Amino acid sequence: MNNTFNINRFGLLLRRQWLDFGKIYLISFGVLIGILAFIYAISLTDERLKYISFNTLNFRYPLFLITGLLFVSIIANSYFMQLGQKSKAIINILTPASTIEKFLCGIFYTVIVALPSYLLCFYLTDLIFVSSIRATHTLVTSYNDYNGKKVVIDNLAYFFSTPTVKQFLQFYYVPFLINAVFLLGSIFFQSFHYIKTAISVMAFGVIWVTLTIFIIKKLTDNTVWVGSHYWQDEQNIYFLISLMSILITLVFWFISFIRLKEKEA
Amino acid sequence: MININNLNFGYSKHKPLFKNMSMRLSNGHIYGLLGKNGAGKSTLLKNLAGLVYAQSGSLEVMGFNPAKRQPALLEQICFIPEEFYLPSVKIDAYLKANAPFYKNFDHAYFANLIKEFDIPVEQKLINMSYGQKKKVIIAFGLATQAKLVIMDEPTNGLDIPSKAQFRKIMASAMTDERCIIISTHQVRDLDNLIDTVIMLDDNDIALKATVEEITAKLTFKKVKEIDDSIIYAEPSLSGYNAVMPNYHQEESKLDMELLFNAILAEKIKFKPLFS
Repeated sequence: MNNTFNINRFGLLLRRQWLDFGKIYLISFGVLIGILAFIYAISLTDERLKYISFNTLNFRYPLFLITGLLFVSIIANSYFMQLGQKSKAIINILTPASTIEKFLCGIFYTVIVALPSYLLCFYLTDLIFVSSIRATHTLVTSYNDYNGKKVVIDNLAYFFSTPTVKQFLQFYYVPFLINAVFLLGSIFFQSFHYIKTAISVMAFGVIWVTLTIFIIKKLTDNTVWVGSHYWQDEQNIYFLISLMSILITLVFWFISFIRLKEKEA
Repeated sequence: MININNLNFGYSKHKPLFKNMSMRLSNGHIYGLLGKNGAGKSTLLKNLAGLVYAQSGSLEVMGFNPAKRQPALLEQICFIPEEFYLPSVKIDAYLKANAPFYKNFDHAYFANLIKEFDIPVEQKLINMSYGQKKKVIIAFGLATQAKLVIMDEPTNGLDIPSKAQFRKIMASAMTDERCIIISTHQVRDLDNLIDTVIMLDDNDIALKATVEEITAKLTFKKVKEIDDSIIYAEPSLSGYNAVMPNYHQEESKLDMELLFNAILAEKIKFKPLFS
């Protein structure tokens, strides 16, 4: 018997975990749909649509980011939360599957299932509401670019085809990073997982930013940059931030795995 | 089946629960684990199942280190905890999700036990009473055909007929390949069931002996007056319930409660008898 990873056992574990996690997932999903539909409905009333303008649908950007952050973090933080309760932890630890299988099962539900679900949910809500507006309204602005070519902007475009959303793509690592942090929080803390994780993230963020500003200020005060232009190129900075974030995400996942392995009941 | 060598464990470093504990448990036995509150009965069971980690020493269960939590060992362990959780599903769904992890799971036996325990199969597990839930996990655990059965206070929450059923079922579940360890405060519930008594006290094993060995070395009697031959006695309505050395190979029935109190009160006097 392979005691590290067995695909059949992993499949059984996915099915078994659905009994516990499925309910949390479906409730979160239902609440998400409700919140999105409610905010779309109050932001796109007939009254508001009378004065439709190029920024009428701009509420979608903060909505996408805030609900996304909440959904991804709540789902990740709920997955291993049960290990904080001895009665649930015992059943979970003694399920005949390896720790790596149990951890990967967590990644499967909180990343592979949860992230596309969120995107799909947002996409469908947007599709329904925006289609209904497009059926009765049109709002197009146009201009000529420096080559004299006419550029037409559809101000009632679907969310995922707007240029702003395309800029989000360079922050693709953010949901994974949030997942890794909150997954660790769900294993690390025994109770009040979400609040404790959020406070830890805030405290860590404040310390990190303060220290960075302090050190950089000390190093660069009254100095002139004479090195290469590498650090002045925005794309290079974004690339390095992405790289660091991916590394931090992997480190957090690894720590979560170790904590899961060491978890006692 | 189980080898414990110089096991040291404590929830904090300054307050050890087990100090250099060593013990060997074999298959084909039903062990009764007794001890005062806080003596470490549940903790010892958790160490055996790999739910907690020892500070030092070695622990081997069926050739595996339980701390590694390998699936090959986990499928051979049936652990019935005192506090447990069951999801909000019916027995069928629970079975479908959990039974396939145990390759020797006996569905017919499980169905029999559920029938014998009179469990309402149409009801969701979460809506059942504590006693009914306990019967479900006992039935599930025994149906896994696990070689090591660990039960922490299994009769807590069971009504009087269920306790008798439990004893009957456990007696029939015993095979030469199985090792059953039952921790309890309700020693009378285990009467005639256990064949070896393990008693924990003062961070170590105060007694480990078979019922046969105990009744060969000690006799349990009702006496009118106490004399020097009596190791320990407790007043009763008609005199005293006494424990004394069995010099004349008399037959007596083991009074587990009396033995428990006797060992705790007169540990030094008993030590030479069972060393």
